[in-house]
Amino acid sequence: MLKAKLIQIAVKFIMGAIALGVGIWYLSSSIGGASIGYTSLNSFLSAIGVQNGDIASANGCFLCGYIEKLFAAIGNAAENFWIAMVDNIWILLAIGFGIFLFYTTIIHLYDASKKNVSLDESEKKIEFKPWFDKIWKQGVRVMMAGALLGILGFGGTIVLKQITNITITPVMFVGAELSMAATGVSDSAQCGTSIQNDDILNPVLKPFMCVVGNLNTVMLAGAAGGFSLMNYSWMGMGGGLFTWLAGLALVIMFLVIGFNLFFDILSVIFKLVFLIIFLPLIIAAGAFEGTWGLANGVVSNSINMLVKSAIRIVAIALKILITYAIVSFAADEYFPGPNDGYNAILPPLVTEKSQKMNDQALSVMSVFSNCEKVSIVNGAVDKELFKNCFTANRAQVERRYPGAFDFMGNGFEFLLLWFGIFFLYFYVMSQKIDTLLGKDSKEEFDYGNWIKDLGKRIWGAPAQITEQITKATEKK
Amino acid sequence: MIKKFLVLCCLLFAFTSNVFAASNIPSGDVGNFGAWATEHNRELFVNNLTDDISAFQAGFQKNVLVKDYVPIEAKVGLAFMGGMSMVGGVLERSLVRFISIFLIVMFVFWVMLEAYQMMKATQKSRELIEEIIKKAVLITIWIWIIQQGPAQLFMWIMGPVITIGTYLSDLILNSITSTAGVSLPDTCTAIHNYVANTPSSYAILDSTQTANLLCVPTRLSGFFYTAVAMGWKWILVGIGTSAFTFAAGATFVVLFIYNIWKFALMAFSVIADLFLGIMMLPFTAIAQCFGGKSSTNTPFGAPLDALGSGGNGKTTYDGYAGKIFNGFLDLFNTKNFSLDAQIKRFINAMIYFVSLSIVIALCAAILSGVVDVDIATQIPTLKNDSFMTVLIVGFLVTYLASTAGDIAKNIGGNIDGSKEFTKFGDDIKKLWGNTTKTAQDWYKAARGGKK
Repeated sequence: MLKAKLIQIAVKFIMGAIALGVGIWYLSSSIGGASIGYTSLNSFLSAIGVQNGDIASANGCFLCGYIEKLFAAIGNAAENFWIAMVDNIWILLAIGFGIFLFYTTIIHLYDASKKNVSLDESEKKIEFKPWFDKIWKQGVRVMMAGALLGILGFGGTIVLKQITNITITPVMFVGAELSMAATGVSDSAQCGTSIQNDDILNPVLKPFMCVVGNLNTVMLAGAAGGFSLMNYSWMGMGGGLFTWLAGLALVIMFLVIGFNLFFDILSVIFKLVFLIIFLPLIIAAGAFEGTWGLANGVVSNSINMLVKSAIRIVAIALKILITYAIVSFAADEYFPGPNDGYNAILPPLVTEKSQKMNDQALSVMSVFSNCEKVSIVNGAVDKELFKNCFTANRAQVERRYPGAFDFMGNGFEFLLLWFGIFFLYFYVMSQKIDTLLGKDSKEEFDYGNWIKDLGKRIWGAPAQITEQITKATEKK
Repeated sequence: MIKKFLVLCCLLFAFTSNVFAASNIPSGDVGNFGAWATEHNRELFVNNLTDDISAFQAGFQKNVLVKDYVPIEAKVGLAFMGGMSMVGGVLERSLVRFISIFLIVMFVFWVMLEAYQMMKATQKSRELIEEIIKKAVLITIWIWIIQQGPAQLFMWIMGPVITIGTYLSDLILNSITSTAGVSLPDTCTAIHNYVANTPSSYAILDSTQTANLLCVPTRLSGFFYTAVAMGWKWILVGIGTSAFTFAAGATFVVLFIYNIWKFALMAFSVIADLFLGIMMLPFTAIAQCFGGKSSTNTPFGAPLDALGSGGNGKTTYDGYAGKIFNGFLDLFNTKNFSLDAQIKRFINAMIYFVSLSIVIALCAAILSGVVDVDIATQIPTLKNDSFMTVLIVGFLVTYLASTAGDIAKNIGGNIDGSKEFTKFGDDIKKLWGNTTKTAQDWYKAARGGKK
């Protein structure tokens, strides 16, 4: 029994370690060369493979390539669905309007007859104005919907694309703007998919790639900070075991927060995709809103979904921004102090511009900056070259400023600091933003979390199987 | 997720102690049938483990129980406030232009929709023109405000609220503790010095206000760290001699670290409320201009009215265009973003903060029975060696900390999303439950294995 327990623990541990290892490997492999601090944003962007300033082209853009292809496939299917709907939905509209006409006429005639029964022969009459008032309003709404859907010879998919451009794109644009503020690499117009097509999902795809691209850049930047700490201590350049662990904690922190937010974004995106795909049906339902119970609330629910999606995107972008800013501030305080806008571990994304730096801090920065330039081979930092350069330059600086590079010595405090920030994120910030920007406790359509849970279940299957086998053997 | 993270933390700590205890791996003494649990190995393991923990405890005590110790949670808090100020600055820079254009575009749409509604239904052109003028004046004022830097403006107005709040907190803490004859470890001076030496160009609050905000939740840190250091000592004493002493020591460490972070997270929650209020000010402009209903009838009364009640309404047109227009403006609903709500959030946060200081003062009075502070050195020491007494006091403080949110609410402070306090406690409870269940399973497995 004890052996069975040990095997169970071992399986769980191995699966957990593999998951963590794969995550860390993924982040590490997304950053070209060794991560040993980045003094310029450009060198960091080139290390993560950003091409032509398009942040979504970075190596670490998690599943970006697949999502681009997935969106292209869904876009094609949605367009075909639109064409099929537009070609046939007039039948639905015509039948709907016919039933409405028939029912309204019958009811009108019935009511008129009922009223006429009690009247004298000379007073009996049927007024058509109230009937016509009802009919023409509904008729106009059906015609408007028909016009938008292209039934009357104009409109159709082109108009529908325009509608998605007007309604969906601004929703994503707000998030894209905010997340661009986090990285500050370029404006959102230059950010997005490299595929230039006329696909119907483009209004979502481009800003989506921008938000995800920025999220990944921040995630990789945070992880790069962690790798820097790990490298410093591993290569004997400063700090000890706790500094290495603090680096690992920072990597894990950004890994966990980054992937959590990615799945959050995925939920929002699929809601918007859902809205785009069913746009013809939503417009058709809009024609009968207030007339048929079935169509009631379809348009307002869709608008509601759109508004909630916009809020979620803002919330997610805000979380990215705040997390990186807090870590940046902490790094600025320590690596090295004082708080002057420069830190030796994190790439300078949202951080303050270096200012009022004292001579010692300037000397430290110049060592990192020079060694970074010297050690770049084929666009990536070579750690041995960096170490050699660092060792030589460090000695020079330390002769003038003894202990200038001792800032990595207090590893235990860094470790506690990262844990504190992690607690702060999960117990305060994340929840505060969700409360302020109105996240529902349990959403009905939460694709991202569903995928995440599925992944967890699949990953946990070996542990589950081992547990079941253990239980079965125990019973025997 | 959090559960996983906490488990990971435990693993990391376990890992670190294993790394430290690398020399503890018994060697050269394998008993009969390959058994490693020989007396020699046990002794070796206990001695080495004792040495490691002893070194760690001494280092911990040396770093933490000093006069000018700046608690780590205060450093986290400062990084948090610095980060939030930075984000506030970034948002202000990137959002001001966007919000200004957005306000103008929305105003154009609003005029179009209202004009259509007037032609279709109300036929009251005079009222419409009045409304247009009112809204135009209001939007102009708000654009001017956000161009001037709303965060700084808001802080000039709300700064005294923070000063009064933190002053009251300090006053309550000092009066209660002096009545109880407690001398608080002076982490506050250290925090003030630390904050003053860590300026930021983005800082919205001045360093004194920042330090005052960080001081209240960390006033008990000196006491708590003393108890944690004592916990490590008992762990040390318990190794190889008494499982109960070891468990009591471990309980101490967990219990008082929990207390440290419980108070810190509560205060961070208040600080988050303050900063989110400031950061959302550009959105407040939209909520003020397009949310809620105005009660004023004069064009120049509108801006004044808007400062209190929030704008003069959405579009009255109820067609699809009106629904989309109003739907988008729901992004910036008056409940969360109106100036009224922001000011209330600020005042509530401060009342909450003052209430928190009362709870902290009570805890300080209770803790004074077991922890003493040397007046000269300002270093706390444990004056009661009976760990049962300290343990009971620790649990009492934990109870007060866990109900501090409710106490603060009852006193009058109410901050949004207070569920995070219970979530932290719930996660710890869950972790404790899982740990005990695992321990029981292992015990059963071990017993079963012996049969």
